[in-house]
Amino acid sequence: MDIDVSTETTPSRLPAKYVAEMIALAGPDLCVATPCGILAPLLGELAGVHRNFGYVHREDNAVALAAGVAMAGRRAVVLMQNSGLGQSVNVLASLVEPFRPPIGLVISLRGTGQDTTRENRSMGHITEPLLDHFDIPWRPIGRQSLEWFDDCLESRTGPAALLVPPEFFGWSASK
Amino acid sequence: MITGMDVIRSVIVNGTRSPIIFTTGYTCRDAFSVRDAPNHLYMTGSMGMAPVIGVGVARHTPRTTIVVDGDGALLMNPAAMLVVRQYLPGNYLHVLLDNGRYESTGGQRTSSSLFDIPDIATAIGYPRCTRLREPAELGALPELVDRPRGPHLVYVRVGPRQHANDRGAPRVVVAPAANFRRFQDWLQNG
Repeated sequence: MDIDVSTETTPSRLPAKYVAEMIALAGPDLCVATPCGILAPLLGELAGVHRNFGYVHREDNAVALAAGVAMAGRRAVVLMQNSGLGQSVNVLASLVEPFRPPIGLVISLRGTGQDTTRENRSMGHITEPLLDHFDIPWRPIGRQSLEWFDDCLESRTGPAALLVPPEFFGWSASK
Repeated sequence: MITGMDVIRSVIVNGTRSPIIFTTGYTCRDAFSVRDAPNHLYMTGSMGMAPVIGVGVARHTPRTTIVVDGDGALLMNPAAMLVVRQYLPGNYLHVLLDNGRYESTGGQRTSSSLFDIPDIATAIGYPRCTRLREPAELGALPELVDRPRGPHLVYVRVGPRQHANDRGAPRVVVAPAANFRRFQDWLQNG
């Protein structure tokens, strides 16, 4: 069933394996993550479908590494929690926004929806405005937006982001 | 004593076949003032990230990738050395200019005298570190570029600028997005 992207504000869940395969389909030469409970099922599946999947110890370093890969004409995807997007603000402001490397970002949305943890609230509030401010197009994760994400990586027009709500892969604050 | 400008000039002259990433501040500006070229990437912001960008580039080119870095930037993001160790690119030359100063922001002191940066790099896992002390030792650069056997840290303690009122070279005027496209095209076709 096709889903209209404009109505994907509360995306229906997809199997982590399917999402991992869709990300791998884009053929990223670099696919790296930083740890995140919301993304954990996806990270587990990516380890199985992407040959060089791995972890980088800080989000801003992961984004700079991806930018370097893009500067060599290759494809790169970084997966992170939105707290790490906060960590990456300077790299987004002074590297990604001005240089426009075509990198893909998959960002979980702590501090939104059913995640009421106090320490994540602020970042939850500003994740979407922050991406808008840096002129990084984003879409909530879903079947159509995964295809859009792959298209962005292939056409090399610039950075693109997919946002993953807390419940998407079954995360819950009580777990 | 070797000056930062001596090293930058030597890297540019000997690195015409290499992608070169220059760290933010006067390093970018000095490099741009020596010569502008399509193999230069001027990382005018993102202090501390030049070595990490260099790893991403080095993984996808057979050419020796050169990063011209500074003590202030490396101390701001020493985590960059962990990324270098993690990916261990053999074609990687990390040239570190240590002047003990944040020069482009007014010459404030860095804490670099507290640390032996090559020792830190070695402990992290750089297989090779070379210290250059005298101007004549810059003659080693062509061989280092030809056979980096990296990741290789080339550490140079450099003197301060000649004049206290030296405000550095003019700013880089290549637009970042144009710099990116030019650099990418050169790497693939140049």
